[in-house]
Amino acid sequence: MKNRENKKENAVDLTKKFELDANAMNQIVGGTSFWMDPATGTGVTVSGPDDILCGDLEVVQSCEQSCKTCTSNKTYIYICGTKLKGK
Amino acid sequence: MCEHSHIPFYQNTRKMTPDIEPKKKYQINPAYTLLADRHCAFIFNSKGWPTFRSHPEVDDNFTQLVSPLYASIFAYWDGSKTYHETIQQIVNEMHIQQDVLEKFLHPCIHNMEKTALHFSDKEILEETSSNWIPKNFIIECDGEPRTDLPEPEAFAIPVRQWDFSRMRSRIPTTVTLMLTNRCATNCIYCYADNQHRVEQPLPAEKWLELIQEAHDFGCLSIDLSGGEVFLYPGIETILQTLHQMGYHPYLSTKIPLEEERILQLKECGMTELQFSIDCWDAALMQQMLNVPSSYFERLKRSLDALEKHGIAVKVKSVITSYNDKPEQVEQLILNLSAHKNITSISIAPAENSLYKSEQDFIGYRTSRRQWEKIEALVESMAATYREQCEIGCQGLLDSREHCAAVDEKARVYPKRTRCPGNINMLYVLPDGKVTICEELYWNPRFIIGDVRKQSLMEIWESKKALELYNLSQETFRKTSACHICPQFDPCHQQSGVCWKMVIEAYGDEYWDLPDPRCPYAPPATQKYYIE
Repeated sequence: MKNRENKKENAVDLTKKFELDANAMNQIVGGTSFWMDPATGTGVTVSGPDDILCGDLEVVQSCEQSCKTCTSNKTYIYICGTKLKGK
Repeated sequence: MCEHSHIPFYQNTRKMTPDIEPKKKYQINPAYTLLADRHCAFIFNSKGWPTFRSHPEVDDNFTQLVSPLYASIFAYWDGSKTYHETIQQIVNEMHIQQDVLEKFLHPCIHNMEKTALHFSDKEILEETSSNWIPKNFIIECDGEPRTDLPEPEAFAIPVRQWDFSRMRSRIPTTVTLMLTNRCATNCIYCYADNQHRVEQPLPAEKWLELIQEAHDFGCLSIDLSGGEVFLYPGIETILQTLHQMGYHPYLSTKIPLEEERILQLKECGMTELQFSIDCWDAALMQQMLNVPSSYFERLKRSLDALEKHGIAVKVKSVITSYNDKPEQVEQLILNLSAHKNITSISIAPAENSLYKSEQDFIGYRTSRRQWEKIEALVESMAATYREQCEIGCQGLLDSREHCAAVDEKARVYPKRTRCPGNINMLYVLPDGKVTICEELYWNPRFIIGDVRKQSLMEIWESKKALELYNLSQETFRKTSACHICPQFDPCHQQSGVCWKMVIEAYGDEYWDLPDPRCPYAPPATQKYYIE
C-alpha cells in the first residue's frame, strides 16, 4: 500500500536512482535536446541535429544524422523523440 | 517530408493553465494507471476499466509507453496533497526547477484532448511510439486519494537502461479467457474455429485459479469469450469472482436468455451485455444462424426481460449478402431503438474466416456497393437517435486498403492499429492452450504455452513467447521482403503485424510473408476482403 507521507519523512533523492544529475533531469523534463555521456550520466553540450530530432523521449545509442556541425563522436546517448519538420 | 499528413497535436503551451488552483488536490484520472516496466514505463487504462461503454471524457483502450522520468513525476499525483505541496515534493525529491516542472505538467492537467508531449514550436510530422498523454490525464481530486498508483521510485530506472524500442510489457496486462468454443447458433459467417473438438475443457476451478494468478500479478483487464460464454457450466461463479476482484469482463452472447437466468447473472454482477442481432426477421435469422423458428420470439422476450431488469445492451449486427439491403438494416435499427436499455448498435460487415473456404466467404460477404448504402443509412439514423443510442458502422476490410498502390500503403501502414497480442495480451483457449491471437485459435505456430503445465507468468516469459516476439529476420524465407527489411524489428516489436491477415492473404505455409497491408507485400493469393 502506498504511503507518500513516509516519503516526506525519509527524504528521497531520485536523481541518484536515475543516475542523472540535476542539470540532466531539468534538461529532460524541460525538453532540451540532450546528449548524455553514458560514463557519467551528465549532459554534454553539442551542436546536435535538432532540426531533425528534438525532445527527450527516445534513447538511441547513436545518432543517424551526419550534421557537419556535430561535435559528438556519437558514442553519447541522445535522448530524442519527435521527428520534426526542417528549420 | 512535406508529403506527410499532419497529426493533430497539442504541444506544450508554455503558459500557466488558468484553472489550476494551488490549494486544491489533483490526481491521475482514475481511468488511467501507470505501470513500471524493466526499461520503460506505460500508461494504461486502470484495472477493471469498463470497456463496454465509450467514455467521451477519457481515452478508452489507452496504451502508451512513456519515459520513466515522466512516469515518476506523474506517480506523485495521487490526490493526497495539494497542487502546491505536490510540486514542492517533486522539486525536492527530483531536483527539477519549479518553472521547468510546471511547464512540463500543465499540458497534462485537465487536457481536453490527447496531448503530444514535445518541446518545440515546430510541427510534429510523425507520431513516435512514446509521447502521448491521454485526455484529462491529471484532474482535480474530488474524492479519496488513489492508493493503487506505483511509487515514484518504482520508475527510477537508471538512464542507461532505458529502452523505448520494445513495447512488450513485463506482464500481460490483458488476459482473455475463452471458456468454450461451443455455440448455440451456427452462423454462416462465423469466423471462429468452432469445429475444433476440445477433448478436455478446463474446469471452472482452473479458470478461477488463473483469474487469481492474473489478479495477483497485476493484470489490468480480464475478459471472457467464446464460443458462447453462457453455455459454460461455471459461468456464474467465474463472473461473480471477476466482479468481486474489480474486473468488468465484456460479455457477448447470441443466446436468448430467459428472465430467470438474467436475474441469476445480474446477481453475479452482470450489468451489461453485448447481444449479436443481425436482422429483425425470423426466417432470415433461421437462414443466417441455423436456428429453430422459435429463436426470434425467444430473442424478443429476452430483450424485453433485459430491459425490465435494467441490463444495458450493446447490439452488434453483422452484415452479409443475406441481410445487406438498407431496408433490412433500417427495420433492425427501428425495432432495436425502441428498447431504452440498448445503448449502442454497431453494424459491421462479415469478415473472412480462416476456418471456412474462400468460396464460402465469397458466398456470404456483402459488396462494397451495398456497404456504402448501409453506411449512408446508418449515418442518417445515428443522427436521429443520437440522444438515446449510439449507432455506427465499424470498418470495412476493403480491397482498397489491401490492394492499394505502394505509395498509399506506405502512407497508411505505419499508422495501423497496434496489435496487442504477445505485447501486452494473451488468450487462454478452452483446453488451456495459450495463444497470442484469439482468431488463430489452435494454430501451433502461435501457441505459446499450456496452463495445465505452466502458470500464466511462466508462459508470458517462456522461450516460445519471447522467440515469437523477438523473431529472427534470418528465419524468414529469402523470398519474403521481411528477410531484408530494415524496419523488421520496429515493425514486429512495436506496431506488430497481423498474422491472421498474412495467413488469410497467402495461406498458413506463407506466414512469414509481409502483412498484406505493407507496401512491400506481394498481392494476396486469396480474397479475404470486400470488393
